[in-house]
Parts: sequence; structure tokens; C-alpha cells
Amino acid sequence: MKVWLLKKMGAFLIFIWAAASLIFFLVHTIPGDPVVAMLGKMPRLEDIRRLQQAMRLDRPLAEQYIHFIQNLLRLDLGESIIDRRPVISSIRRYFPNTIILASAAMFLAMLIAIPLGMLAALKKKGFWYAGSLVFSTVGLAIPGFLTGILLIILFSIRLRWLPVSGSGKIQFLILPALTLAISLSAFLTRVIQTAVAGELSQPYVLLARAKGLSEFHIFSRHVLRNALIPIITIVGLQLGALLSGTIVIENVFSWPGIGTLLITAIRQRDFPMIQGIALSLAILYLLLNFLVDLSYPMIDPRIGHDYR
Amino acid sequence: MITGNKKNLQYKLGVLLLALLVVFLVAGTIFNGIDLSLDIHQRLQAPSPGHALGTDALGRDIFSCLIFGTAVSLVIALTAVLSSALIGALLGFAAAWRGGLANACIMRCADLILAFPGILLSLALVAFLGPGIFNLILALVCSSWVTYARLVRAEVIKAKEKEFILAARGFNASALRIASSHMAPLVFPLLLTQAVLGMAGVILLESSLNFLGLGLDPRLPSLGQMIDAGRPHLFVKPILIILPGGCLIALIAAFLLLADGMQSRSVYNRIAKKL
Repeated sequence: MKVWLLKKMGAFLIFIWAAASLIFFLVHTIPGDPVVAMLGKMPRLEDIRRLQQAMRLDRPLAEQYIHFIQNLLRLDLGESIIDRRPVISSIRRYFPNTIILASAAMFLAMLIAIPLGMLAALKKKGFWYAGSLVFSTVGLAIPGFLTGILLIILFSIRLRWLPVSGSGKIQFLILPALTLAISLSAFLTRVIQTAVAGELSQPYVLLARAKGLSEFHIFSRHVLRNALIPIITIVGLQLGALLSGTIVIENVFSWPGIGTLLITAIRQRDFPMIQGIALSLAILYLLLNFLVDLSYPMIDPRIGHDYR
Repeated sequence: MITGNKKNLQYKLGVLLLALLVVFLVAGTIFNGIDLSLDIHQRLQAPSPGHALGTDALGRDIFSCLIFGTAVSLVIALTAVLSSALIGALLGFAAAWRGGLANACIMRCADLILAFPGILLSLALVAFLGPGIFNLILALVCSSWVTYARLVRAEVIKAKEKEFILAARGFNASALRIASSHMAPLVFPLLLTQAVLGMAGVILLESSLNFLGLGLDPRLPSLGQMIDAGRPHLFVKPILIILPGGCLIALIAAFLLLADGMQSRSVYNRIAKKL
């Protein structure tokens, strides 16, 4: 178990280093000079030189890379070229909002997907089965940003129940969270349904029935526990879709999170900021996956057993 | 595997939807023509004989924009999916066939790309490279070849020790020959299904990038860009969003249904089985 934990931990750290290096080399080896790209058309020569010196772009690539990694270890991501403030402080300010939105969306998605998927698996070919099939197909076919705009048309413009955009109060959170939850739960519903249906057809269910256990007992103690592993893995995999959906949806609702910050930075060609945000999102995603991995042995003691 | 399931409902619906879209594109081009010229004096016009669906905020013919945007989405997605399936299949085969260092290099690259959640890598690439059709396709391919590589690698590893492959190797067949005449027919049905599903994913990604203004040249109409441009006119002219939105949903739904129908066991089934 300890060896298993250490292995996972090592892989996690190596991936952070690899992701950081990839972003670094992406910024530094793209065709064209990032400084010229940042300064726009017809930059003055001394401006170019000043910015190059400030960003250490006049040094050899290897030296820049070592400097970048050293700064990264001190959690220094450089400073924004627009407002000259440290990138890390902007990220710290906007990150909590993204976490709030993503968690709310995940919670809502589970609230929809778990009951719907289970009902569909239990009552095959019934109303719930057809309903969940239609819901998941429609939910997957509508892009998130479009769902968001349609919800704005329905709830903010026609019904006037909720505000269009902003942040601070709970009313502002509902629409973006619901938008994210719809596409997320469309996928999760199907996965949960398939996982539960698969477990229900296993021989141990037949044995449990033959022993005379109640259907409720079989479902809650045996089927659910076995179906949980694929469900948690998929939820873990879907965290990527959740984060990438958050980037887009935040911009639809002007939610002051990391996604809005990222798109603004891209529009302003604020390269240190883009680099910092991309890296922090990748680290968050890796961290979440790491935590999902850690939860496996707790649910299914067979996993991780080989390394004990 | 594919032929056996032509009769199910999803497959039929998908084919129908795709056929309708193609008819819409062809008929629209023939009868309406594509006129993307700007006319600032004709902004936000109601439907008229000259403009079948009216004009947008820049005075462009909405109907022409719809046809152009849908066709562009389709062409970009086809190019991106074909190239990433090809690259992915070749790399996946190489990884499985050579094993060792080649396998480690290719699969660690794939893992690294998967370390970036969804849209992030494409977004960063377009941000650094700048907008444009070539950069957009490059960004889409970079993040989507991984799925195909993993799929092909898994299949080739499974088939590697089968008798017919061992026999081919016994006859001193080259890796190229084994790949093209023994492995390809084996992997093709799975790859095709994955590619159809990938079409839906790539169209979604491409429209999201265009919606954020980070895909094609923002002056060209694409479905995502039209939806973004329609947002300020949400109150007065919701049709500016509903029409391109409808085309986009139809496009994605067509490929989703098709992929669903093509699989004897659905993706979800396969995912659940694998874990």
C-alpha cells in the first residue's frame, strides 16, 4: 500500500514537471517572437529590447528554462505584462470562484444523474429508460455555451427569475452551474445506467436472490458498491470535461473565475498570464485525478493490494 | 459489426439528420448562393425576398452565413478527424508493434496531452499560434490523436500474438505489410466508430473556440462566431442565436446518433467494461 502510494505520488510530480515544461517550450519555440506579438503592430525597437530583457528572452533557452523551473518551485509565475502584478496573485483571487462553480455544477450533475441512471437501469425498457436515453442524447448534442444562452433566454429574459450575469450572490451561481450540470449529467446518467445494469446481470446477484436477501439489500449492499468503481473513474475522467466546460461557461455568464481571466489574457496577449493559468489548470486537473486514484483502495480493497 | 446494426433507430435518425443537413447545404448553395458581403445600411433586416432569413448585425445575409458556417464546421471537423485518426493509428501501431522505447515515448506523450483538461491545450495553442484555419486544425489534431492511438495500440497488442499474425511474420512480412493488410481490416471498424464519435467532439470543440473568438478569422462566419455575435441582440432578434444554434445541434446530434447506432455495444458499455 505504501509503495503504491509513493508510485502514484511520484507519477503525479513527474506529470506536473512535464506539463510545466510543455507549456514553457510551447511559449518559447513558437514561430515568431512573442514580444513582437505582445507589442502589436509596428513596435519601437527599444520597447522590444526592454520587454525582452524584462522577460529574460535575450538569454539562452536552457538558462531561461532553469530560471522558469526555479521560479516555479518558489510559486513565482512571473508578472502580468498588462498591469505588472504577479500572475500568482491574480490566479489566487480568481481561483476560488472557479472551484465554487465547478463544485456546484458537479453536485447538481450527481443530483440529476445518480437517481436517473439507477432508475433507468432497474426498469429496463420502461419510461425512465426511454427518458434517460432521450435526456442523455439531447444533453450531449447541445454545446455548453448554447445551453447557457438558451437558459438565459428562458429564465432571465422570458421568466425574469434570475439575473443574466454577475457574481457574489447565490442567484448568480444557479444558471452557470445548471448549464454545466446539464451536459455533465447527460454523460454520467448513461455511464451510471450501464454500470448498474452490468452489475445487476452478474451471477452474485442471482446467488443473493437465491439466499433470500431483499431486493433493497442486494441493491444497496452488493450492486451499488461494485458499480461504484466505474462510476468514480468516469466522474474522475469527467473532471477534465468539467474544467474545460467551466472555462467556456464562465465567459458566457461573465463569472469572475479563472476561465474569464484566461480568455481576457489571451485577448490582451498577456503571455506570462496565459502560461500561469494554463499551468495552474493542468496542476489542478492532475491533483484531482491523483485524489480519485487515492480513493480507489478505500472503496475496493482489492485495488492496491498487489503492492502491500 | 457495422452492417449488423443498420436497423436500429439511432442509426436511422443519424443518417436522416446528416442527409437533411447535406441537402440543406447543397440546395441552399444552388438556390440562394453564398453572399457574405457586408452592407452596413441593411443591418438586422427582417426576412425579405433578397434575404430569405434577414440580415445580421453587420448586414450579412443570415442564410448565406448559416450555409457557410455549417459547411466550414463540417470540413474542419472532417480534416481534423481524418488526420488525427491517421496519425493516431500510425503512432498506436508503432507503439504496440515496436514496444520498448517507442512505446514508452509515444504513450507518455499521450499521457502528457491528457494532463490538460479538454479545451485547454487547443485554447493555448490557438492563443500562441494566432487564429486561422490551419492553426485551428493543428490545435484540434494535437488534442485528439491520443484517443485513436490508445485504441489502435490496445487492439494491436491483443492481436499481436494471434496465429495469423505469427504466420505472416513467419513468412517474413514487413511491419508495413502486416499493418496494412492484416491489422488495418481488424482495427478499421472500431476506428471508424471512434472517428464518427470524434466528429461530434471536434465540432463541439471547434464551435466553442470560435464562440470564444479563438478559431477562424473572426471576420468569417462560423456557427460558434454567429452565436457569439448574436448575444448583444438577444432581446430584439433571438433568431440570430437560434438558427446557428439549431444547425450546430443538428450537426452534433447527427454524428452522436450515428456513432451510437454503429456500436453493437455502446461506448458507455465499453467504458464500463474496461474499468
